[in-house]
Amino acid sequence: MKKEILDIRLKVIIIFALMIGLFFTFAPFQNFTVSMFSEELPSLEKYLGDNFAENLKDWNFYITSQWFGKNFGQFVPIISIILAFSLFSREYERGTIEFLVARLPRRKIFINKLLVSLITLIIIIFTLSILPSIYSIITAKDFNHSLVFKFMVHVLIGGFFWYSITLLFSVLFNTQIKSLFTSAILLTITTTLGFIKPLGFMNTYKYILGSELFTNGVNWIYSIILLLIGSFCIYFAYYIFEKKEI
Amino acid sequence: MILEVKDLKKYYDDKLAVDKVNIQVEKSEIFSLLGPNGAGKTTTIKCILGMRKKDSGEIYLNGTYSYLPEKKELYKNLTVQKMLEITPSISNNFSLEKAYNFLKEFEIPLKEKISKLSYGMLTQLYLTIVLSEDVDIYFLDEPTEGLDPLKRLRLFDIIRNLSMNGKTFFYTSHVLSEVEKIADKVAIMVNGQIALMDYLDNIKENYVACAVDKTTTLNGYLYKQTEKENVYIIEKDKINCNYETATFDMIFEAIAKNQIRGDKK
Repeated sequence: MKKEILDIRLKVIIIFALMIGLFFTFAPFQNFTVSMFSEELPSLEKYLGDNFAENLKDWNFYITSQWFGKNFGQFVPIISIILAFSLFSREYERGTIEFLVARLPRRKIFINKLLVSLITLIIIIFTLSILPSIYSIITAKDFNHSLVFKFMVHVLIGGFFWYSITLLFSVLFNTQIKSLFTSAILLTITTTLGFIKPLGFMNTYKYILGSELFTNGVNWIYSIILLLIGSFCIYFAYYIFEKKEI
Repeated sequence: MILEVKDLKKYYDDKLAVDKVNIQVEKSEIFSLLGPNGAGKTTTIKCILGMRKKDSGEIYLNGTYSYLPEKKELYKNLTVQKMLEITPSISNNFSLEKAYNFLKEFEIPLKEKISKLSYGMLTQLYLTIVLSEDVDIYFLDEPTEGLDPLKRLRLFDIIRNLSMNGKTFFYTSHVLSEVEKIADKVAIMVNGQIALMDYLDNIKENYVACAVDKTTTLNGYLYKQTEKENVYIIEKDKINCNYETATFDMIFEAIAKNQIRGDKK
């Protein structure tokens, strides 16, 4: 487990640095954003919906739509893919898997890697999700903290889904590039297909960004389906890893 | 018996890589699996250790083990010291104290990044880890690759000492002189098959070289052909001609050549 923590440490530092940096590119600039939308770019309203600029004046709407619905939300699948793509594929690619398999039962190797990376993902998503709450408290803004919980459900489950799929590719493929590209291509394809109305369910971004959270609340059915698919991917990844020839 | 392999078979698609291999290794023996590149030595070890799936056969491994693979790959982004420090979390049998002693002897700098080590140094670091594990049997796949002659001799000393203290070694190599120096028992593997397995002393004792005219064939291994005669390596008790002592090199060469041609007489 010590090795897994060492492996993931650098990624975590970079992700936190970038995401916290990203947060501060918009959080302190509500007034500027509102004025930009209402004065300089009024034509955008037809794409963004009525009263979008007006809604932005509401801190709850501003911070959640800009953080979960845009900046952080867009990165959730990417963060998940980055944490998972090299877990096993790097060991195969560099030949170090023999060092592990000769010393630890495969079950333990799998569980170590799974636990460290999944807990890391949860900590990252949890911490980044509560940033709006922390910032609101520090800057004494009036904020409905229960909104964070709702968005957190979506980003956590969406993140878990893409993490699980990428984990499976990481076990299946013997090179990091294949594992990374396959996950990225799948994300692109599902998102693109999701723009076709009957296939809208395939666009996981719609769910992760919480587009309908303000009107419909947490989408529990979609959440459960993503959790089930993700769990199946992890089980299947374990099954393949147990059988895989090294 | 610490290791017994019965009728092991392993295919890669349609290619038979290991063909009905039978191996027995007793406790505290130094067993050497000797064969040319591509003979199936690594596949045999990997099947024994469960890294490759066997297609048929039985494997009984009665004890803890450690493994030095053919491709010596460790975590290149770590320093030597960090590598040793993480190893106890991966191996229950690893002694950090022993490892530091070996490192000192091999003169590998602790602060050096593994990516900057030469292949020989990497092999020594891997050997350090493997030999610092307190296990019943050590599987060493081509352990001397990249080592200078002095380091090789030192490695043989370490192996002999551990063997005298009850540890068993399963050692693969394609270097005859090494095997002759270190092994108690030898199996010669060619084309996925064990052509001969016995104690090294018995092999050298039992096989001789016999030259006969070209019209005569013997029930042995054709070693070489001259203008007038054929030289066979043959078991001493099957012989009815004048013979000379055969070196282990000659025996290996004759068996390997004949096995490759598939024309054992």
